[in-house]
Amino acid sequence: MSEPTAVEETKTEARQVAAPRMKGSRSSGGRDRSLMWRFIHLFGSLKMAMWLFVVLIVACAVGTVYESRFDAQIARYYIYEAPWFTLWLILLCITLACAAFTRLPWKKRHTGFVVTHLGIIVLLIGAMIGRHFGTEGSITLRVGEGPARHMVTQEMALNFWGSDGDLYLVSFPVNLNPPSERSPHTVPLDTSDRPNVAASFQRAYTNLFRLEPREPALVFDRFSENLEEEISLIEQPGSGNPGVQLTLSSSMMGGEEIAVILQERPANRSFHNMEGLAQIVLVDRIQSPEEAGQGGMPLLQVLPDGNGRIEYSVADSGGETEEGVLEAGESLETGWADWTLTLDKVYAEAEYRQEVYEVNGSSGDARVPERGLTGVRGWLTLGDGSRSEPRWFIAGETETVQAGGEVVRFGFGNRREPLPFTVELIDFDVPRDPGTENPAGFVSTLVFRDPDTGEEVTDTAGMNHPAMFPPGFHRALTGNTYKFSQAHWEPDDLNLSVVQVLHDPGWLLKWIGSLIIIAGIFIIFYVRPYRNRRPEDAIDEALGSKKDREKVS
Amino acid sequence: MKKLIRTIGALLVIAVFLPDMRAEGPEVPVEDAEALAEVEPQEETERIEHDYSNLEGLVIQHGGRQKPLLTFARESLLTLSGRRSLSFEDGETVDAMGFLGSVWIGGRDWAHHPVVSLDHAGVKEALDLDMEARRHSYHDIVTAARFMELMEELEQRTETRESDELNDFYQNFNELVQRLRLFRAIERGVIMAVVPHPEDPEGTWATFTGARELYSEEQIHPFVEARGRLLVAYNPEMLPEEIREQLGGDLDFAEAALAFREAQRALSPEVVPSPAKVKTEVLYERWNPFRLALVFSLLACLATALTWTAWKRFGAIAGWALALGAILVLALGMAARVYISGRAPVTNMYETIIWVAFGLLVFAVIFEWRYRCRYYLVSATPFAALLLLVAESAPVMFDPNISPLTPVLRDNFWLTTHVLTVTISYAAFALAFALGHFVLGAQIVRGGKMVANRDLYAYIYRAMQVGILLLAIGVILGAVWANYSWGRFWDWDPKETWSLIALLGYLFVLHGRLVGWWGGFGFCVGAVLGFKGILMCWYGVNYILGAGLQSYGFGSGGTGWVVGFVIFELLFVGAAVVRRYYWFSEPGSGGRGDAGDALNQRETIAAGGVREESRASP
Repeated sequence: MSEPTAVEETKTEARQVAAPRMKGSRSSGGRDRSLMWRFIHLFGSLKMAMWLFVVLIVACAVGTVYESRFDAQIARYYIYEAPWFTLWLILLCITLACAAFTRLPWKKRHTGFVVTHLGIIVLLIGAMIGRHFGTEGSITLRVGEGPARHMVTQEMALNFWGSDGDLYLVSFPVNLNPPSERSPHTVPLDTSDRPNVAASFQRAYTNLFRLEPREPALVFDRFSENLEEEISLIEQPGSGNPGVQLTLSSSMMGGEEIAVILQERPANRSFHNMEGLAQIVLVDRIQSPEEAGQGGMPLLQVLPDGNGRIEYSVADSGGETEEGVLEAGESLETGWADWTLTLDKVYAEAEYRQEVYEVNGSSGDARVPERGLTGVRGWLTLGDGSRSEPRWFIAGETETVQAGGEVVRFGFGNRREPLPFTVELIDFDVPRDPGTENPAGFVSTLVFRDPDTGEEVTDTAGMNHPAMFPPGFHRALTGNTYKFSQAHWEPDDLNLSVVQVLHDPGWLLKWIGSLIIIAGIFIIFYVRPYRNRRPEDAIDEALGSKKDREKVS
Repeated sequence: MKKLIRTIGALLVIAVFLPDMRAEGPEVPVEDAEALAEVEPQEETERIEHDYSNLEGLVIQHGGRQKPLLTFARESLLTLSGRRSLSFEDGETVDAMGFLGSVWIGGRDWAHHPVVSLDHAGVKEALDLDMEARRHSYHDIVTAARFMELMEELEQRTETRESDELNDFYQNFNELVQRLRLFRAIERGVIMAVVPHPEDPEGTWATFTGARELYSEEQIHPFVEARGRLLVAYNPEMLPEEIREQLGGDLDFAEAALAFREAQRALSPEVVPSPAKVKTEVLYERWNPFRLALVFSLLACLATALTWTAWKRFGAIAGWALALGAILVLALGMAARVYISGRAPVTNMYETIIWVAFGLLVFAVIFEWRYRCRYYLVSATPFAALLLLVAESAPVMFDPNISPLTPVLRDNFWLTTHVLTVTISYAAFALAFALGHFVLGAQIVRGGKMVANRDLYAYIYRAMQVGILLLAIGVILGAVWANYSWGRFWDWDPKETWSLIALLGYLFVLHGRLVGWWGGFGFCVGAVLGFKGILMCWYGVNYILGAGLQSYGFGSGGTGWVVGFVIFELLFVGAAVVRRYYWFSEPGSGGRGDAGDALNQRETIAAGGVREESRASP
């Protein structure tokens, strides 16, 4: 290689970036005076971009530490999907655009630089579209359970029935930002259709200074994932519903279980299910196991005789039946392993009483990884001083709360979102590695049905090979479809499969943006529009010369 | 007919003597504590040496795949003892095949030899073992007074807690128990699944004890007979005279081993992996190409560095030849792994380190070919050697075994291209990093406002460009993979976030140069410090953060070393900065703008400089 080449080869990459900088600062007089151009020059400056870089780098790094310490959802809530981060990305978009505008009119040498910036902007716009119009959730499916119409999202939401009888939905991220006595969360029972700016300011103000709300609101001051619910019976003359409390104990299983059964009319909870192993039913009339429709499953039928005793009929899985009468305090061998049954009390007329308490997780045994029920503690306030007693509300249940003369029904939990079609699991397969029990993959066979068009498609969702509905190449390309991928499985229950659902209409923009970015970087680095330059220029621009720097600063 | 009856009779007798039948028991590895503790001291069998090379290619099913016995022997010995071969106080040295062969065929009792590695002071103390020794005998460990008690405690803990929440002591004790189980399983032969499944390539293989569930007596007969011959060849004393006669008298061990191997193949030719595959893996194991590459790149570095001022032509030829040799050997080694495993060679830390070392050398050679400056070669080769050394010297941390992948990583085109691109970009950054050390090192030596050979800055910039382009492509390919697999484009998963951070870091270095915050020297500092982002993304996410979906193959260990390395690097950079601005022996030359000023100065760190080099090179 000859001498000049050796120098020329230390290329001129930075010209496309460095040179425009000089041009940028040499902007025409008319531009400098206009307010808009001043703005553009301010935001298009490289120093601005540098600070954006630094904050982005630090924020992302902190986010990964958050994720490592807590979990991904927390990291998203406080950083990646927090409003300030979105704002920062919008600012980045503006800076990128302004930086490109400061180079107007663009010359050939600006190509790489402009293309790269355009690519990043397109990508970020795609990301924002995806965030706003896309959806993400999961569906728990079982073979033979029929089609599902909803998915469950990760966000928590609160539903309440307004005074007008309509159902309202508000975001309720208590799991990510739990309320405390010091900073309770207020959910105003606002039934106006349009967003009210004044009202939301007042709300923020109320929350910030922890004032008593001036409008009907639900206030929450605790969140727990370690709640236990205890259901017992109390005498309630006039309810018309007989009830029975039994204790089941087993030394083999090392446990005791209290079964509380109430004959409700219409009957909806007149049985006690022992984890799917056996069933205890309160009946009007003792039937044979075949009649009771429980063939094969251990079944205990209980019939209060009105004198504080019960008539019972106990059947084991083989269909062997034993009948008799039990007094309060008496015990009975059920014949189900070594379970013994004791009759605690018979109520002629009773009502359920539900008690929720928090299991003290902090001081307790860290060996218990299982969590209890999720719930929040709170009360209803009407804004005129009247409020209900604070109590726990359990996620996923419809709760009723009363204050003054006002009754409010609400519920909260992971938000469910309807799908525009149904999905059904017809098969779930887990192939294994040869000679081991390690799963080699997961395959869910899903059937999709669109009720509007009647379209029916069968597809499989495997690892790295998601199912898609509606199908079609252009839909896959544009993201105008729902993708179903394997999320979880239950080693003990191979009929159960949890699939993740994702819909991202911003995909095409992200995709195009990515391609543009790559093309832009490539042009900046490797396409040289100006070949006839002095070798010294090449080195200057690769390194950023003094002259350059003076221009910039 | 008479012959058949006689042979079956003989086989029955052999069965009695087969080592893996000595402890007739369940087909599962020992699970319960009692079984672990029940050790029958045996007489020390006399040491018998054999040539195992023909037995190395016997196929065994283990860890979810079919592998040569040599691989299995090495993996097992490594797990058991943390070593590739054992040497004892009496001067005896046994390699992996020798160890496995003597247990499995000869039934030699190793329980009283220090084979099982245990290096945790707390556990050693609890078991009242020799604190100085790193390896202990199976017997000493399981007969220790508190062993049973600790076992029960461990069981309770694993039942009530997730195993990864075990504290350090029980974690180590648990690992020890795993090693003891492996030892026992090898000793009892229950792990030696060498009887192939009759028709299913994915099917479960059997040991000799379980062979009759897969084959009829007649089908299995030649294989069992071959095994009998192998036993006789190993030690004629093992079987009674008349059976020995029937099997053909005194036999040569190597021949018997070959026959045994062939009998295995004949049993189920469709299921046993092809001879070419087995041969490749045996060769791969025997030659250890990555070590060879390590030697080559070290020599390439020496050849180039020692001939910097004299014997240039000779040095250039030698350096080039050795570097190309290293690349070739690495390529062959990786090709072997790809052929054996049927997937891209970047699925765990070990493989990515090798891949980055390979990429580093390839980039260096390409740039070297373009610029003929020797800087690329002389800085890339020692760093590649260092990477290979790290990969090869910590088998416990960076698992060199080829094992099946987690389901998510299987069978995906996008995944493969994504990981290959991202990791090869690490190699380009590593090249910039290595070159950056050159400038900083010179700065530390010379002090003052040294002006480096300005071409060096351009060389660093070149390498960094490649890295940035590849990393950007890799990150986006990752997004494409994520979208393809889950429909999600970007997930803020730690791995992908850190790759973005690393990319932003390098862009920061580039833009800072344009804004005038730093010049050529600051740029070199950036090239060195920017690599910390890559290290965090590469190693830190898996080993320090230990979170996220994409960080398959979480690992532990080595954090101290990496942190030490990072601290050393920071000190190194700090020293260069201090030497430049505060503590210099020579009077400073001009203002801060070294790169700009260099136009007027002809001072370069290396004598000769680029131009002369390029003339000298062919």
